[in-house]
Amino acid sequence: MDVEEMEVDGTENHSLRNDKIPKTLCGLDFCFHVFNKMYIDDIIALEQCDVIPGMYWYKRHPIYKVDIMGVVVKRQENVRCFIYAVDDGTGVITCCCWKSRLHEQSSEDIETTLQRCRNLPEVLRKKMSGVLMSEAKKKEGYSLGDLVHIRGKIKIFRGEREVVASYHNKLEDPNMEIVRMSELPVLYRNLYDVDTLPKKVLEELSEMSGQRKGICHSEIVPELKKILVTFIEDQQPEEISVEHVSKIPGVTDLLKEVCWRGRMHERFIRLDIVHCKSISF
Amino acid sequence: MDLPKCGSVQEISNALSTNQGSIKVTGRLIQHDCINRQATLGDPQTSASLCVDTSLTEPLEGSVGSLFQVIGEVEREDGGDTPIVRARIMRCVDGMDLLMYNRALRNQQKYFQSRNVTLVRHN
Repeated sequence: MDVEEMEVDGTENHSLRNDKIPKTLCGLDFCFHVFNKMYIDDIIALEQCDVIPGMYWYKRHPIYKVDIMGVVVKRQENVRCFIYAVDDGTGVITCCCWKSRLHEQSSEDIETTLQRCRNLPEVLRKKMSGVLMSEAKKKEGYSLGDLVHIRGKIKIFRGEREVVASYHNKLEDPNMEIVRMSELPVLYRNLYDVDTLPKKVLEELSEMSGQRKGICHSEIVPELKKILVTFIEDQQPEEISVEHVSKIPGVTDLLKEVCWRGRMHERFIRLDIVHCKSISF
Repeated sequence: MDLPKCGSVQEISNALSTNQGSIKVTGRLIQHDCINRQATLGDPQTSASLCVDTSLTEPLEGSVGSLFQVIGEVEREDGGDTPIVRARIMRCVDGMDLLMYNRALRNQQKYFQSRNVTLVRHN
């Protein structure tokens, strides 16, 4: 799904807006590592990342795990999992909650477990019974109208985006919905709509990628290989040497584009040409 | 998998003026008629009330006087004056702080308006 945005009131530099963080630096962004609390509407509208499978972009943040809270509006039970449609007021998304194999095997009752915990203090026993109740509820599945909290990865199943839950729980207190509703605008304003990396770093990144779109260090070797193969097919020389290679027009262009920044890069390129000598044709 | 439409959160006074679509309203159950499957939801602060058709959600857990959240489609009767909500989900939210809820709702709406982004989606 393609999303084009036009920001009327944007403080960001327009030339930086369409550049994404390079694949190797995605880990620097905290959004990559956490379950992101987002509106379901935004999760559905996330742009897919073509470089890393399973990764999605929200503005300039890489997202692959989300945290949603909403009401169950549709429920479907399969042999191995439950499929719920969750609605948070901005959108509806399907969530898949796998059934726990342990529940099939354990035949222990809640009462027998509580009997075994007789020695624990009162507070812990209450907590234990609460946890056992919620586990039993998970086994039966949530019903329509329950407020649920789900955390999981975004996956595409049969063409539709869904959240595969790694954690799910029913919330008894309706005020949790209010907490989430007040949290989200703050999170969006301060974190998601703002860039993680400082402005100077982003400018350098865009300068580096702006020279030749898409060429980065790891792509130099395959590019060189392509140029050499076409050269050999055209010219069919009997002998090739490093000096010969560095004189091929395609290679000199590539070198110019990649080495504009300085000798550091030149050294990398020379090393790569040396590696190319060992490529078997 | 065809999903039910998302219910956009609205106050009862707004819901009375919407034409169509799925909404989510919160209010106090003023009246509940099991036999005719009709209920009336009222806003505690204003005196606005909304008719709800509960054919899909009977029997109702909770009694008259509890707070309920309704997700459903707004339909207008042939006359065109009173809207009625065909409830898909009726959820008892006793204990929810309505003042805080309305405040959070207003903040959320303010944020969505301030986004000022026109999203053009190509499917």
